[in-house]
Amino acid sequence: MAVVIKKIELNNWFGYKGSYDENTFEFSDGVNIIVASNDVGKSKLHNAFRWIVSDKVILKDKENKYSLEDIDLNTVSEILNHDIRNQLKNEETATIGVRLTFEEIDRRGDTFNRIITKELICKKDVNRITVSNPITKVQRNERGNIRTAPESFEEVKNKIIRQNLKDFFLVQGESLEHLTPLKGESLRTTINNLVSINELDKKCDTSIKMAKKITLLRQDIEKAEDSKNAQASSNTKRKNDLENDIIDIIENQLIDVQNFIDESERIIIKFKGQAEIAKNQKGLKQRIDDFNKKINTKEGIINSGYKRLVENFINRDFYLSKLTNDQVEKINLNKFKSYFRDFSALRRTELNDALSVEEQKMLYALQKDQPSPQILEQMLIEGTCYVCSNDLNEKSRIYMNEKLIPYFRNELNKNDDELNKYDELNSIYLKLEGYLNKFNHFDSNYLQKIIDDIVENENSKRELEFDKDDFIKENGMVDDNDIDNISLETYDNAIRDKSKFSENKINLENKLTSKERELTEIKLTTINKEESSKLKKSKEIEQFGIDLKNVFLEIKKEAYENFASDLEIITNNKFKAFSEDNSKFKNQSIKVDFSINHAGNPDFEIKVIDQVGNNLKQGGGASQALRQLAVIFGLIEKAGGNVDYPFIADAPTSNMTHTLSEHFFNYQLKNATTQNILITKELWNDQKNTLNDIGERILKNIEEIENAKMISIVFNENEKKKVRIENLKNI
Amino acid sequence: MNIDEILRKILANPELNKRYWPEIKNPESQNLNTLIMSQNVYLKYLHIVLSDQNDNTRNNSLSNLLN
Repeated sequence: MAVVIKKIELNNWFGYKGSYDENTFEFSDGVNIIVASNDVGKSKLHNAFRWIVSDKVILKDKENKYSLEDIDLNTVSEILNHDIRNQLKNEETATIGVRLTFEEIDRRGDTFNRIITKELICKKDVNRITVSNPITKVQRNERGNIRTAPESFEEVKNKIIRQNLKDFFLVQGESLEHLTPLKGESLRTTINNLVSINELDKKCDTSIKMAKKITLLRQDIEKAEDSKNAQASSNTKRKNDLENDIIDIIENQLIDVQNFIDESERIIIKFKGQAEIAKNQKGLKQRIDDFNKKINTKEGIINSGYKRLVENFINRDFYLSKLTNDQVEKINLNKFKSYFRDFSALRRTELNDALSVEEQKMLYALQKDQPSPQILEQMLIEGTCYVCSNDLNEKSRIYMNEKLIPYFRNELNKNDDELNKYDELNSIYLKLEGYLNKFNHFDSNYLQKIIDDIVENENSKRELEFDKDDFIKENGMVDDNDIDNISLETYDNAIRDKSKFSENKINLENKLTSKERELTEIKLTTINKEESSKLKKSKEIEQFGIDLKNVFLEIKKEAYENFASDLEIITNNKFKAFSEDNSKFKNQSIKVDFSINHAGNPDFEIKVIDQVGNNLKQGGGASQALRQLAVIFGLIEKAGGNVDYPFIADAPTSNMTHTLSEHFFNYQLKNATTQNILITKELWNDQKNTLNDIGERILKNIEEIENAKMISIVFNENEKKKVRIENLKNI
Repeated sequence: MNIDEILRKILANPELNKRYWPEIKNPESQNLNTLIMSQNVYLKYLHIVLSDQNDNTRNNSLSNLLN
């Protein structure tokens, strides 16, 4: 039976101030497009349909998120027209109401007009507005004669859109993702209700129930027949217990465990994204912590180096103090060396009696410069004194030849013990100086090593700090507060749970196999028992029941697989039709995933994938909006004549581009199979408060279609807070 | 898939056909009403599964089938 909404009338409903006849929308039986700018009353109009059909309204919370709400003490102030609400005096009442007139065409083609009204009485109670329970009314309009109808409100509202299908026929574009289910129990229920697989499901369930029932009946017969034979009775009891154990306990446990696995899987899927981000953040945090740890270690080493340096400076037992002492000794030794040299020279002079005082002075002068014998020989050859530049006389030449040169060649004092001892002392002094230098060198090396260590560690610390800064620059700084530990923990727990339950599942399956083996053995031992024809018959039917159940499950699986594959083709056709000529969607398609879970129920998930099969769930935006619409219209088409409810949508193209939006409305104008009431702002120019270019083009197309209509909602020029509903094209 | 379509699909299953109702040569011409007339106990069982009965009636039918 097709349903056509003829009109909806609103009474003090949000911005729609005034009575029903002041706020009336009349619809054609084809595509109706209602256009308006923001905040004029589009969503409020959609909410009126929703309230009538589902008792709920969609409201935006403070964070701009949509939620389904009842009209109660908390929400009524928002829904009652604000002018009316503000004018209410204490104890005064006002009515909120929605009235909907629809035409129902029965199988014989006869039409009925029904009027359903739902109202709330609001009362001012000091500072708040109280609200009554809904007051509902159902009327029939037969050729202008309006009378109360015998049907209940619930019964009649279900005719407009069946309750379990409302998420597919009454949609809100901006919250499609949340309110229209594309997986899980809700999608399964919808599919079951939309298509005739429902019948197969029911019969499959019946076959499972009957297989269990026939087993129980056979057990009863067996028990009664075995009562005479104790051994047989005990065997039968054991067999029956085993069967019950297998069927009722282990299988149920398996279903429970599978449910736990599914639930863990659901959590894993839900939290995977957040957990991966958190894990990544944690990894980054760990790397930063590692840098900090290494930097701290280096700092520790550097500090201990400084400490050792300071200790060395203040600890007298250490090389550094010795170094200081050695320096003093070195100075003393140098003084001694100078003194020793002077003494040695004087001693040499004294040894030569032949020298006059003048010669000694000269020798002394020469001694200071330590002329080498070779230079003296050269002076003799040239006959000139290099000190005074005079020519050498004969006496001087003899003196130099016989005294000075042998003297400086150390040939004169070879046997002087005292001088020899001086020479020995000189060599001891040289050794002492060597040792002292060695210790100095050792001390310097030791200190240098500490300093080198400090410098090296300082450099390496600086490099680590640079690396850390580069790392943070590249990956961002991560604080403990940035990490979503709850998601990570939930995800990790779900992974652990899933693995634990999967292990349980394997154990249970093994247990089931072992019990089944035991059962077979018992059956073999009891097979020779004399059986009545009734028992034989029950066993044969029992086996048939099991075989039939398995065939049912096969047929059901095949039917669902076919359904999923058909739905995939249809939704992809819709998806392509809605996104025609748009290259962005060229490589995207819709995938209908299907599986049978352990409890024997089918699971569906509908998603958008790219050309290599990646799920584009995270992408959001237009492709998701198109997916929702493609699935909705795909399911409607697949259901065929089973569902011909009006399709009522608020902002169906809210996430789409202008081109896609225009394409969608034109597609619906040409292809809609049921009445469409599409509420949108995409065809409206807010600044000029008139149709935009797309709106004009769509209106032109509407004018050529007999049962299409466009209605605008604008603020009234005379009374700013009141809206005006205008037909842009009358049919 | 309606009841008769389900019935025909079950009847046409080769394994069930061979073991439980070899006498049925043309499953596609069968419908739920023809099952009632059958003397084959398995077809009677199948009729109980496919016909619209509540749980009590179905259990009674099943008990009767065994007697």
